[in-house]
Amino acid sequence: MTGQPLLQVRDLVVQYDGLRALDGVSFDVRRGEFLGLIGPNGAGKSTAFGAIAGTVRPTAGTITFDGRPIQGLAGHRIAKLGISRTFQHVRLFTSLTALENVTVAAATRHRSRRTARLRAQQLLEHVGLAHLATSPVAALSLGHQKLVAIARALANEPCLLMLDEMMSGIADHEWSHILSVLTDLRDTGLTLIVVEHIMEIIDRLTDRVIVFSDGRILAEGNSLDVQAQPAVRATYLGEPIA
Amino acid sequence: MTGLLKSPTTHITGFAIAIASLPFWLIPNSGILAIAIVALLYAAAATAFNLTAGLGGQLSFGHSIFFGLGAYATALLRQDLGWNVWAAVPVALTIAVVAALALALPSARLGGVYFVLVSFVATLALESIATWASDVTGGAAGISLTVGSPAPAELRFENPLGHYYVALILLTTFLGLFAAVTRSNFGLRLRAVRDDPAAAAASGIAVARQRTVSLLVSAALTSLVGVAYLQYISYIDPTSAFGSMTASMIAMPALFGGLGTLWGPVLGATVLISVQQTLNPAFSGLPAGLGLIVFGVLVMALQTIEPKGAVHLLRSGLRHLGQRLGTSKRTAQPAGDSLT
Repeated sequence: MTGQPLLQVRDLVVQYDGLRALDGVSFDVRRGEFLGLIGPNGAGKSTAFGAIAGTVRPTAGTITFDGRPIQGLAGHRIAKLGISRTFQHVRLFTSLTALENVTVAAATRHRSRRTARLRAQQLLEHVGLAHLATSPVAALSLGHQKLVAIARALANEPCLLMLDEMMSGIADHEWSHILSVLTDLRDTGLTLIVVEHIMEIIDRLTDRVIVFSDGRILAEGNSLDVQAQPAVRATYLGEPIA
Repeated sequence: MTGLLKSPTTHITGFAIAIASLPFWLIPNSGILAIAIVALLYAAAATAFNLTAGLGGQLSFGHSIFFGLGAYATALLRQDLGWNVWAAVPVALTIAVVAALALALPSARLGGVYFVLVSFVATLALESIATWASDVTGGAAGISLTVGSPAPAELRFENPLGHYYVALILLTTFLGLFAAVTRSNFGLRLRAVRDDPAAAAASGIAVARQRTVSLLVSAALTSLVGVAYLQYISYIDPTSAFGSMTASMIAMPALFGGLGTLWGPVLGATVLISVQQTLNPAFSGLPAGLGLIVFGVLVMALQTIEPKGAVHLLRSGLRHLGQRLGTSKRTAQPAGDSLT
């Protein structure tokens, strides 16, 4: 499960005009680890995702991936180095089918269209959507769209996969399916970071949790230890009902 | 058999044959032939524009830059150096591509409204430069080429029908290229960039590079239309090369007909150029901007009715008609860019 750090974030600052979204955040992610990022809305979790993936430009600090500084690199270069992400609001290519959404990412790794398409078909099968491959993504349920987003992120053949709120807005009947896909991903040994509000997912899947609050790290440790901390309860989880 | 009937190649071939036959039965006089030639040329230019704006989502209001550079480069090389048009074509094309590169490098990352503004300012600047550099360009009076004796091999025809077929060949080639790009990996990347640039980058796609390449190809094709236009009219001036009316006549057909669709620019050019050419005599004594207003009103009216463009309106109208006649079977629409 554990190993050498694959990702090292040091003193990361992201400033938007008057708002300091991240304020000197430092953490490591070890190879094969499943890390959970939790915290209230606006705490800086998704900004940290964006900074690592190249969607957000850091104001200060360093991000080292596999021994190589990546802060400020363009998003596609970071993706090519092996970091993939999904988005909180899914953000699929809405004019394309499910298969095309995955193929276009697979084609960045496979020059042959045929090979890329084959790989995309395998990935859709892996997430249980082979039967919807030719469907327009706009016609899919939110749960299916999120599965396409996972398949698209996997098509980039990542070493580190970052999943942003996969379970939010999901219908009850899709919940267990997505959970099993996430469990399978963990079992492959892929390094994963998830942003998630549903603590059951965090409890069941993650090796370690980092709690964000006001752009800083409030707590860090395994899920149960972190949830027991008074500061975390006060800021994010609330007190249990007696 | 069904696959063959649905193939864009079959549609484009059928279109080319139908349009090639038109002069023999539906174009009764030279006035209508002239409108048809201009419509075909602008349909070709709009198809080139559609490659970058429709597939890549990079709208520009300055494709007249490439049209004008193609026309001016050919005019100057023919007039001052006595070059054959075929010798001038590679030069015209190179100049347009270099101009596109100069435009793309600082602005391709920006996309959206910034590129629209940069391209519009650039074409207005070129119009001013062409007017100012009168020693080279003839200034506002432009360049009138000596027509000389007909030489079909050099695209100089005694009968305007020759220009009609040149324009048709150009348009058919561009449509074939557009269909091929749409179905290629490059086309898939362009559509991904258009739909969501940030998600495309996160999928490993170099967004700025896709936009730049599509713009270079589009610029090269548009410059060829400029060359064909010059060969037909034998005259070019700063306004007809780089002016806002020319910029509109390239962009509006695709916007009107349906961005990203194969047939949208063709339908758009047919409607808008016909309206513009028909109204030209009525507007001759009025301010020059009135033509643009008519274009704008038509596009806005259509956008209100069918935001995806006239080709979608036509398709749904035909489907509706088919249903009323009881001959239509409702079939699921495939996703992605319509090649209809």
